[in-house]
Amino acid sequence: MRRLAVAVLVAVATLLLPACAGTDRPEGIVERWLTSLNQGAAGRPSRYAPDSVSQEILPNWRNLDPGELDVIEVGKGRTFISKEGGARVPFRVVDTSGREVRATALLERNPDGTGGTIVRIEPATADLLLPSEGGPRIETATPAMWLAAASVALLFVLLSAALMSLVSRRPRPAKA
Amino acid sequence: MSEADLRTPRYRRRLLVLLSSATFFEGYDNFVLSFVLALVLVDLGGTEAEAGWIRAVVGLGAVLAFALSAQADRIGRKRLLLITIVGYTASGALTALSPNLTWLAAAQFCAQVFLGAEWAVAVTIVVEEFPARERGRALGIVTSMNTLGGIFVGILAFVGLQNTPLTWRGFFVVGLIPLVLIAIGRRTMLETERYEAVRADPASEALDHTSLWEAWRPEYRRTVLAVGLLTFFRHAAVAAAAFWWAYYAQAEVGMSVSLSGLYLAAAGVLGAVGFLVAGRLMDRFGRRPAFVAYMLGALVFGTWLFQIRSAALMLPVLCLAIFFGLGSVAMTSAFSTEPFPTYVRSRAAAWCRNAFEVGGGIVGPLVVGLLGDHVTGPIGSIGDAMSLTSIALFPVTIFLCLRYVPETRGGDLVALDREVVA
Repeated sequence: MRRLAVAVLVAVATLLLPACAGTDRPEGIVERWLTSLNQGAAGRPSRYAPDSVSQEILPNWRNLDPGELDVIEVGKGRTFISKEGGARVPFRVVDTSGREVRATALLERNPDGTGGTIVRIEPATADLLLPSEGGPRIETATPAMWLAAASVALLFVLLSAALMSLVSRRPRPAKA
Repeated sequence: MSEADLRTPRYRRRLLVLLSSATFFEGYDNFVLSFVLALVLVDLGGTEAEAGWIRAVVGLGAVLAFALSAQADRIGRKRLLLITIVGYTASGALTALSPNLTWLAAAQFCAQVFLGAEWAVAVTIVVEEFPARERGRALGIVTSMNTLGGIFVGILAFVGLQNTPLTWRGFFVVGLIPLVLIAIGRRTMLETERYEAVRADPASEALDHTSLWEAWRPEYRRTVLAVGLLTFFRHAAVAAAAFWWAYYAQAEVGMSVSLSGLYLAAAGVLGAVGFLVAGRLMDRFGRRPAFVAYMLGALVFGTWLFQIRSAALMLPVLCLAIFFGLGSVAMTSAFSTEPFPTYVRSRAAAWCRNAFEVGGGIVGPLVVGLLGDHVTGPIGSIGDAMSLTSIALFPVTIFLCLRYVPETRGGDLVALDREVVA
């Protein structure tokens, strides 16, 4: 039983360790910028973009109530070779009055290599489509990940069976 | 007239209305804080970080509810139900009067303690007061009210309760309505027949009616663990889906906030039918076949839901996912009460719900968020992370149900109690 428990733990660790590997997707940074912009001053969008860039998307954003943007959509971006390791990310926002902005965010990596800053807004281009326009999603699970999910399901079954085997069925206590 | 004569079909209908009203407001109170939180922060002053702390403190109340709900085996079902209704009504009133965030967090923490216990005792009362052939139907009705209570918050917001002079406080004033239930319940409600019979039996004096660990005695622990694990895995997947669907629809599908809200309300009403159908199926085919069918449905539609990119297709699949995912609560409510004798039933239910289910409700949404984070998550997509989580979690619930959970359709609670005290 102890060997089985160790084998199960090793299998769990093998499956979970790759899940700890992180990344820094530029699309996610653009999305966080737009989400924080939508929260008004409390969202502190200056963490992701200078005030002048934020004003282009939501003029006078500091004085607006949270939830001014009714739609925020970000698509798969494209990195380009530069010393900053930048990326172009398509996005679309629609405010509560129906005004739509469809554009591309130009993002540059921070000097320390972590995260990034949106430095400029450019017009939308045909090569970068949003998911609602038939473009690719920001990220999709690989076939290996789907297989891993099925394996985790099997692992949970084995773990449950192992736990249940520790609780043996015992007869009710005899009458006094 | 003896008490047995008072338990007529008419009395049971009135009892069902009383319990349904209690679970309706439990669903209402569970949902209302997150709904008005933005307004609260503006009015009382606060940041998102403070809101996160409030959420964490309030969530801890569900853990403490475990100890309170277990008291139903000691002080009786009727008394505890009335205490919990008074408790969460008073907590709601204190919330409406909140002068600052600390007060509000403390009042909502208390509300959560009473709400968690109220749900557990309501389910126990249904199981003990309704004949075996009607038990599933009654469980389906009482549990479905929880979802409708949550939707009621959205309806009040739609008609503009927040725009009245009371603003967000008005939502908590509405939560005072359950006091009417107390007025009715105190006069007409009886202690459950099974509880009274067991307490009146001299042989039951040898049984432990107070220890929280009684449910882990050798003769019960196998069922408690099996039902607890099943509840944990089911709730982890369902809570994650409920928590992340709106975010997925808005951020990954491009739906507007207003459209996703409308979808959720419409699907919630249609999905509530899932509880009622579950109750019928439980009585007709048994608890285990009904649960397996619901889990297969939740696996298929829960996985598909988070792969949909079309807003038109989203609504019917959302309805079916809620139908199967949330509707299965009717079965888990039966699993956590019916296999256990009356003297320990509430404590066993408390373990299954408050200990295991609350854990699942914390772990599920957290794991999906970590895996699907758009910046740092290894999967990078909430939709895919949720679909993969469904695939990983739902099969084990079917395995546990088929292999370890006893079938209790038509179960004779009287015989079960006699076996224990004999």
